[in-house]
Amino acid sequence: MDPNLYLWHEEGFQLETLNGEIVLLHPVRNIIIHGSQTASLVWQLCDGSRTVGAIVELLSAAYPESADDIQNDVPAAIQMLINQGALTTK
Amino acid sequence: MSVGTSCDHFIHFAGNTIGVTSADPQVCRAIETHFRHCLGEHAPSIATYKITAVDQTGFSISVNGSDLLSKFSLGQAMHFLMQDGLTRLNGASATHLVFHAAALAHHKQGIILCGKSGSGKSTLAAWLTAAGMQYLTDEVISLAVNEENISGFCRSIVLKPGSAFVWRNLTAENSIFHPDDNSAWVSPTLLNPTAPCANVTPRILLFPQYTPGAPLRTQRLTPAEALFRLLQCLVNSRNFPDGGMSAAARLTRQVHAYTLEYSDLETVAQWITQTASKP
Repeated sequence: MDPNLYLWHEEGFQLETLNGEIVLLHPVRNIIIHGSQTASLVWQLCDGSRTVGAIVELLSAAYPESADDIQNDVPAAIQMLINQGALTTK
Repeated sequence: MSVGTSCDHFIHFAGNTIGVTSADPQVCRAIETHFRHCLGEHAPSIATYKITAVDQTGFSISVNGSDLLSKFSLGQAMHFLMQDGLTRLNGASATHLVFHAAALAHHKQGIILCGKSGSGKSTLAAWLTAAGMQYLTDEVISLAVNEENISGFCRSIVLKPGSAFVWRNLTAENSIFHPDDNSAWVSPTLLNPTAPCANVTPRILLFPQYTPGAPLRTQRLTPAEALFRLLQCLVNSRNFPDGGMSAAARLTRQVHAYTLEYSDLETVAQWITQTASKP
């Protein structure tokens, strides 16, 4: 995944956070997504001001003990949210 | 043509009503048997069905004054009323979330069996009803956006031919209604005289899947996993500004949720009963 991509939420999604995991619902497009705690953190950071690389860096700094996992898990969570139509890139 | 007093019935679910009028005693009897626990007082209706006997075996159906179908058998007419009426009731509700689910009550603990057609929820609901649980529905539940309790569309249980073993030892063949699609409509009171239950507080949310030959497998779900699955069974999401998310999430917070894979009804019923009995 290109680390220089900027990430935004697609419009129309409803968010619910339960015990750190997220569920996203787009009632009109009938999309339902369940995301891990990693996906939940990613979602919160995808406000159009950060790139993929910046998000990985930010979370690696916040959770240094999990930095190795974050290198893989965060791009995977971003890709999942893009594939499901919840994130857009530029 | 049958001649008699016209019967007007009002079928209620999820805050809406459909009206059914017919002068045919067979139709009236079928409605009073298979929608008995959904019937209520006169109320403004979102649709009015008129079922008319046109000869000795055929019926015509009109909806809101427009003729839709003619030369239907009684079974076909009742099947149409069940399908079309429920679709309209589900789709019109903007006050209640409607989920594809069966529901039962065990010692006032609500048990939701969530799943689409073919997941085995009707057969399991019938089995649990026959085992002594109270019955809310085998098809759809409703949850008012600001309430904790669920209600069910408390129709007769609709069973496929392969599930006849559930009722065959409990009731006579001639008390079962067979529409033309080979299903059997079984009044819940034939399985358990005290079965019907108007509403209950949900405590267990189950996602059953019947798999021939499979041993019982259960998996506890996190609230988010449960919400993800529950939303897939939500019928009228578009009627709510938030898609029904907040009310559905509230429901998942108040229950224990599990997936169930099973083949043996006795075994799964025992597990459900034990789980529902835990404090």
